[in-house]
Amino acid sequence: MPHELLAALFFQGGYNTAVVIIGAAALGAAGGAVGVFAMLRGRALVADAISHATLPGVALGFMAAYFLGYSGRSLFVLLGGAALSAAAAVFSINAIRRHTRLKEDAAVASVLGVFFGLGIALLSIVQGLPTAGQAGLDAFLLGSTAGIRLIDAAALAAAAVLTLLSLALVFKELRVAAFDPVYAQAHGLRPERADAILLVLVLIAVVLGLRTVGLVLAVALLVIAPAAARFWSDRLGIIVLVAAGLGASGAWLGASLSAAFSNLPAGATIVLVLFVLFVLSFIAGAARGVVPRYLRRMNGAVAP
Amino acid sequence: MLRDPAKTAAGVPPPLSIRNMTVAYDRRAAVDDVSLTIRNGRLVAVVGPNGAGKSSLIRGVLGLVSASGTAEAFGRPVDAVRDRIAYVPQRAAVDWDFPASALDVVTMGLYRRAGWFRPITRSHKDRARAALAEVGMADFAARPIGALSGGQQQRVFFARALVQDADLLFLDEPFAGVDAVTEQIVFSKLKALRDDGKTIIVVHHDLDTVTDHFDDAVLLNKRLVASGPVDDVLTPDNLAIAYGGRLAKALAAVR
Repeated sequence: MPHELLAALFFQGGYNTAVVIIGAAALGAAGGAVGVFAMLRGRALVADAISHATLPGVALGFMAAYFLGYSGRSLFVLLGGAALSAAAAVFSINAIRRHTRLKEDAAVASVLGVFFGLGIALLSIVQGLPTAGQAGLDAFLLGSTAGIRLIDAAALAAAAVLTLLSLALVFKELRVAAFDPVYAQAHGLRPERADAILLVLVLIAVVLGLRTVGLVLAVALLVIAPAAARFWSDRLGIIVLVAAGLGASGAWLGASLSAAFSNLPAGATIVLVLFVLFVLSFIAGAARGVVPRYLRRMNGAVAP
Repeated sequence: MLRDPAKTAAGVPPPLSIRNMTVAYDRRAAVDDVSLTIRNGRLVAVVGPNGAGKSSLIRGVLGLVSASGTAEAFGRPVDAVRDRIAYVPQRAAVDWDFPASALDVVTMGLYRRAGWFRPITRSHKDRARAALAEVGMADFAARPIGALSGGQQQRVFFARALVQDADLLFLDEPFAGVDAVTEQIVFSKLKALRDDGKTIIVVHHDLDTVTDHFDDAVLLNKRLVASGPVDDVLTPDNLAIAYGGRLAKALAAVR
């Protein structure tokens, strides 16, 4: 098996596998970069709700495609459904927050549970349809690198790169909305617009990663790489770059492992690789890692 | 024809005019039907006992909490002239672990001028550095904001307001928990701004220093007690209304 892993890592495992792995790396980069702002703005739980709330949309997308006579395998019909139901979840969260006195985490957790429950119920209906077996809907739960069409993988990678570019355009707006929303509002910088843009970027990153990472673990892509990146720098721009790099490496390694050992689910493998990167960052991270901090203290430098 | 009371003699609209402003949290009024006009080029202290609604009044004016009534700056709704208004919030309100340097924070004061989707340029950064130097923080530009002392942090937030080059400044308790050096630097900058014709409104908790540093005062206890020149406002009678009888006598004795 090792040579199969090496082959996958260095894109020798067949053209199709290579494209899927490169696509996964692009998703990892986008997820890591967007995730930095989600983490700093305290939106990690909302990202989790967004990812779980995609399930009803995936199932409904499949049904719609089936009854309209498509095979139901077109990835973008399913992802379109996923995006719509995730957007409905975001609206529900905002409505609950505005019209009740529930705390935000209660609103988010309720919406997550209800949408995921609805998705599981719909999925059991879908499973009864004749073509459901080949649809690979299980891949949306736990992620898989198998059975992704070349053109889909390339489109996902391109969309991930576009997401990164959009993030660069709103970098300073997201920064001030996350750091000091009260000042941003007083200064007329419209932090609520920055927040809305951030939620859209989170939604896009989650939906793009759905097929590869799976909805149960999609949030890990948005949280673990940024949390690890925080150990490396106190500068936001560098943290975003490091998070994108860690996300890309984690997804690349994890997807390669999953492709080489075909019964390893891609989502779980990617998350475990990211966790290893997190532990390494915790130990060695230049700004806040345990070892550099210890060395600085030994040298008598003032802790920053 | 009746003259608009909000207009000064010269017909120039005042920097701030508040009409019937009420701010309520959970149906409990924090600010109750306050109307007042601030004169141009004044250093104004907003004073009153704890819970008098001093900060709430500022937040209501800036539209940061929902409020009834109107607030106009320079004769126009506050929302239309935000580029002429700077605000230094209470220091406790931000995430101190956020990855931002002192220079990053000051540069935020130029985001609006730079505009959406546009990057910060070198000249923006130079201006932010100059503002840091004005408050004696030039050597701390690269420091993470969370690694600075309370007074240094306050000077950074003050520099962020300075860089906006605003005509009307609001500062919410800028001297709470800061060192003497910071207090002195901020006061001398505020006076320089006032001498340049800017109007500055400061929520202030220390009655003793109002006479020394401020031109005008607004005395508040949910309702407006008095507003105008400091000596006309901080009379024993007004203080008795705002603070209650015995405390006011003690305060008057101190003064």
